[in-house]
Amino acid sequence: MQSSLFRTDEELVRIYNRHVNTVYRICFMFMKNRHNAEDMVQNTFVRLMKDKTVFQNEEHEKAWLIRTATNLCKDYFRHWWSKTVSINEAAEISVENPLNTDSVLEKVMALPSKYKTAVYLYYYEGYSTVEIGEILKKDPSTIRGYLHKGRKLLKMEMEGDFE
Amino acid sequence: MKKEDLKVSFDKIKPSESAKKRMLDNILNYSERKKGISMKLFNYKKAVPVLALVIVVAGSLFAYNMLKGNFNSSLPPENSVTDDAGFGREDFAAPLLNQFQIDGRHYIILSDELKTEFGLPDSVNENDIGSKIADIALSPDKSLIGSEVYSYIPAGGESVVAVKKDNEYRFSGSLPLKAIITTRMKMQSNTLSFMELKKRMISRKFSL
Repeated sequence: MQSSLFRTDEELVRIYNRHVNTVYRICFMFMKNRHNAEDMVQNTFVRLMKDKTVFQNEEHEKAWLIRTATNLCKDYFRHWWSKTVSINEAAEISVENPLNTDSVLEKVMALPSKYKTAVYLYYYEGYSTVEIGEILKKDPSTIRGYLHKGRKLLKMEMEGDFE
Repeated sequence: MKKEDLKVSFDKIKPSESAKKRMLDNILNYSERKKGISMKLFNYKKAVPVLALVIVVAGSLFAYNMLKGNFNSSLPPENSVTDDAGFGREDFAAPLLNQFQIDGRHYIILSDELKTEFGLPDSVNENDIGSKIADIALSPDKSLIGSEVYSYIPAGGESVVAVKKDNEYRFSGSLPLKAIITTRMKMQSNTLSFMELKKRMISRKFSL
């Protein structure tokens, strides 16, 4: 097996297979269409190839990928796309139908990205607010605020306080 | 909305198998392509700073030499000794040979050129050897120490003397050379007088 820039291709494939779905979901929530989401997934793993970080475990690896994917998606809109299309209008511009969505997913996708990401990481991936804060480089109280707002917008019947 | 509904909805967001394979292929292709590019750029990226450094150093040396006034493309500086003399370090200084000192006067063994120039014969005629002056006691040339020094009668003084070394007489002249030149003029004068005298004798002989 040949080597990539800083990791062997074998290592890269293993990491890819472990986390591609998570990375794809993060990217999709930002990009709101398959085509751009795939581009961002590729960019995330290309960034992984160039990065020298030695991961302590799979969770560390996953957290790094989530943070990198989030930052790359934000950068995508920050650089040039944001001049014509805001991050929340991207889905309307896209001609491609993203997924066979139900009403729940449509509501989630309609959330602003910061709430959406926090909701995904908390309810789906099972991270605590502290962990989400570390991944996204935000204060845990800020994350709790995002979750509170996101839950309110989704009218979720969830338990009260966040951890 | 319940938590379970949310999980089910998020489960729907996932790439198809073909999309996964396509993305992975693209990533690995990028890896290969990037390696090729990086290999090509490697020398270039290294070469540019090295080349810049060389230019800076060369420029600095050039500017330094220009400011110092030492810059000369090919010719050596004036009054400098070149070629083989470049080895002429202090410890390569030529030893002083064929010189000695008697009573505060410095003498030098005359070379063939000097002998010719000053009108001296190639070899010393033993009949012209006068009295012994001294033994050489002071000389940088160790081989001369102990040699006997005799006066040379035709010179009429001690400016030119004969040094006996290895049972052979050699001319030696005192320094400064002015004395030698004086001796030479004196010898020439003596020769002229001798010729004049001889001419007179011949003319007298014929007249008789």
